[in-house]
Amino acid sequence: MDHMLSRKVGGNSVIMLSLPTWLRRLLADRLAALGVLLLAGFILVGVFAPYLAPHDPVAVELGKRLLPSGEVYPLGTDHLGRCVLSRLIWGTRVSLSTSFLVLITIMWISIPYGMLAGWCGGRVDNLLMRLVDTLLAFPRLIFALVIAGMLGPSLTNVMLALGAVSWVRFARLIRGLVLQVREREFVLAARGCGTSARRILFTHILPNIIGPLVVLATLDMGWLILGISGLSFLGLGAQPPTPEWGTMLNDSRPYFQVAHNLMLYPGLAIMLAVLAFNLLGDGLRDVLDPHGFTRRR
Amino acid sequence: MWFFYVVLWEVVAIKRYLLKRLLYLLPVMMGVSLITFGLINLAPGDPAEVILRAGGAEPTREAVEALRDELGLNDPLYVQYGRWLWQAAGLDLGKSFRTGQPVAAEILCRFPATLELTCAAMALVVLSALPLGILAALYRHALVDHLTRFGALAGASMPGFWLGLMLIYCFSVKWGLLPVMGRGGIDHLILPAVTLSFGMAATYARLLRASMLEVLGQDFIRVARAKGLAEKWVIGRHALKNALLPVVTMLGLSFGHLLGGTVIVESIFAWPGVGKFCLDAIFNRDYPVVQGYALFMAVVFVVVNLAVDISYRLIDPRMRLSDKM
Repeated sequence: MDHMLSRKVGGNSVIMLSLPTWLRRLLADRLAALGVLLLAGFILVGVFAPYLAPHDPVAVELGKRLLPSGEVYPLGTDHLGRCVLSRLIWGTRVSLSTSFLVLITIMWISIPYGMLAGWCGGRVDNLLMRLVDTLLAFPRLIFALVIAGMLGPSLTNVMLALGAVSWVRFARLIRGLVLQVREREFVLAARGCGTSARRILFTHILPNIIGPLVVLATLDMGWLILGISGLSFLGLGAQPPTPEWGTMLNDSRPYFQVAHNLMLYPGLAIMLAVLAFNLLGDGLRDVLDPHGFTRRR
Repeated sequence: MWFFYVVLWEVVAIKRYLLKRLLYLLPVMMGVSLITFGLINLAPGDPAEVILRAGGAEPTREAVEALRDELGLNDPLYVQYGRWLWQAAGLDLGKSFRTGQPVAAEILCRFPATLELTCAAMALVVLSALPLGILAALYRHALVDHLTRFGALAGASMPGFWLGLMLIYCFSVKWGLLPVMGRGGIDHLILPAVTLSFGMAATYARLLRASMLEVLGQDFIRVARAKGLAEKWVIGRHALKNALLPVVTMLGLSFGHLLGGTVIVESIFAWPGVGKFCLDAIFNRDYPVVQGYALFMAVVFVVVNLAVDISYRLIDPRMRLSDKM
């Protein structure tokens, strides 16, 4: 099956990325397929969290503190007697939804911004890109930390901070792509027909640059998950009792001499989720971004 | 005579380039300072009130007004910015709300610890990536190759704070080999440096492998082999020298990223560096410290990147050539 797929793909060398083709090419890549599988698993767990979780993730039972794995609590309980597995399952929902929300926000800002810079060129471009350069002058994690720290500890503030530092890279990528595409014949033709700039940008240019954008977005989802859990771990993000992976890790720090498995599982969950996005992103890059615009530096 | 002109031309070209890069730095630095200045406005509540509350008592309206006047918070924003920038240029970043000490001095006296950690991590990256990358390129699809691939994938996905905790658990708690936290001798440095460098080391091994493979396929390697040069010289001198060039540039740029990653590592290992200092300041709502930290790190980051850019041009003659044309 796998072999047939790859042969079929190999024969079809024209890059016509109609949906079934790119999906088939993506799944022919074994690591990317693993990423898709992992991601599908996480999404299902997140969506069906209320049905999958064996216990209430925030129900405190002080009589059952720090229990080891057992029949009633498959992964044991934490320092407040809460079911670790249930918290992990609900944490999937928190991590995926928050990072996705941040990603959507980033897109809302960076797509118009980058397209404006790329399309207008000249002085507008210069001015807009100066701001981007300035924001890129800060190390990303440190800038996010400082913004979140100034705003005060809360999950919303962490999301705002991560959004504020992450949109820049998208804006720069989009601007570069627009600069390349805008001189192509179909854009000139559309201009010749008197199509409005807005229509050209959104119906002609955007579909042509969406590939690298999707790749960067997928890879960035992994970074966002790491960022959210990292800042939560530092105590800036999700506040107890929210079941969030980073917060769970932070909560278990004082107990890791007696119950090290408390630390093991949230970390594994974060790693697998980020791995899923990284694998998928790398696979997508081969399929959607053959020119390597999003290659990591 | 001819040679003299070439050298002169070279010097002039590099000087012009340096000047251009330094001038380019100005707007970026202005922007950085504007953003850092703006940061304080993100904080909820009035700074004057925060300072007075830090003293413990509930402030009266008059006291807040008086302090606002004293701090110049009633002046227009551009006056405040001008004053702040002027002070910052003179390395005066204000005083910590909590300790009353000047922020710049506090940051500077903690920076060596952070720098030590970053340099140790960098050394680890180089020391492990170099042999691993070369071996992975020479023995493709062998165990080493797969190991570095797995390491790069895992390293990019693994949260550093988790790795740090796991390392502490294994090496300090379970086996009692290394100290848990704090700064001291070389044994204190090992775990934090490994935590900080793990992902990057594997990534660089992959990078070096790719670069090596590319170089090994080129004609001058075939010539070197054809003239009967021993394989150790072909690899060690001819191939490695050329393969290292792109890797070294990126390594320089990664220095900044390592520096950025220190916050979390310092927090786990209670390493007394600037990152931990800033984190404590955040929870104490000590805003001048946070602001000073942001400015300081941005400046370091920018300067390091500039230095890397410039030294790369000095190392690689091809870059100079492209500038002339």
